[in-house]
Amino acid sequence: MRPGRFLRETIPLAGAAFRSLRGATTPWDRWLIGVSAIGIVLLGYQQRLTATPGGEVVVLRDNRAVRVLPLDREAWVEVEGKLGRVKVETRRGGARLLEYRSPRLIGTRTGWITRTGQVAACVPCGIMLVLRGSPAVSGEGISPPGERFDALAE
Amino acid sequence: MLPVNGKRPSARTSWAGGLSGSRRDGLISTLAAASVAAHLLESTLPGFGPLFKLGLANVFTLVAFAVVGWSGAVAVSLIRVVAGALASGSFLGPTFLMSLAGALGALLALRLVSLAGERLGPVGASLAASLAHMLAQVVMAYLVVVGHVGVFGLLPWLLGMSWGTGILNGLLAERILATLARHREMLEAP
Repeated sequence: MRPGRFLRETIPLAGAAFRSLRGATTPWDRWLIGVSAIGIVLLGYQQRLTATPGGEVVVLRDNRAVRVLPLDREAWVEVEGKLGRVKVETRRGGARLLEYRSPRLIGTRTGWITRTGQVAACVPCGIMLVLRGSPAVSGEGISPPGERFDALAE
Repeated sequence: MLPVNGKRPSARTSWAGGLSGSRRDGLISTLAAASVAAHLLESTLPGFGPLFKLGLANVFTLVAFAVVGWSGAVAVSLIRVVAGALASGSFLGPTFLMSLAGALGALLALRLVSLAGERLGPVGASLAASLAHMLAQVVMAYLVVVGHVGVFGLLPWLLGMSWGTGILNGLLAERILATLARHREMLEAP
């Protein structure tokens, strides 16, 4: 579809959707829609600003680090979760979680995570991946398996 | 009573307290059954993307909130959580706890909405409930299931999805309420 035609057909549709939304809402509804949208965007932007490329992925089971994998090499490991095994894969500076029996597969659908602070979690499995900087960059040591993460220290 | 079509309820559209006890119970039962059916149906649908769940069952909670009041929303929501978990085999498991936390968070938000009077309509009430639902689920995930503060890193994405689904469900609830308002005599007939 040509851009001109696309715009000619999209703008009236967007206008109709806006009028429909306006007709179905009160001024307080619209205020809440706007304020919450701005808040969510700012929250996401703040996270993005503070993130740097990840150096290693920490695999947590019930808030305990069970594996730490560097992101600069290809690897995959399987970890026992509450709903059976899950697979953790690392490749080219990223990591991902592959679940087999989770009801909504949210961790799997999160896809590859590549920046510090990003997480992929299978909540029913109790498994979470957290990316952090490489030890040389962040000054953090590699946690031995079984170390309990201090949430406040994090 | 929530404003419908962006307008405050008139004597014609306001039902608060207008339904008799048995009519009220019947309506709550119907909405709860519809809510459980929507919950189970949605759990069989393929996902539309990461972290995305429509939460269509919440539309019926909103309708109950608008027609019956907060007590109706509590009944429909808790019946849906328990019956949905029993039917799907997740009762008292982590998924059930997350679902219960979300429902309680949404009900708390609806309580605040009802205290605010008639300022917010179905869309605003749905948005507030949807965001509170997701926030409560993340807090429950942190407290009970995952236990790591990193789970809050998912908040922008999860709240973003809740924002969209909250508005969508609010619009659906508003349409249902407008239709019910046109046929209110069917509900109120002896």
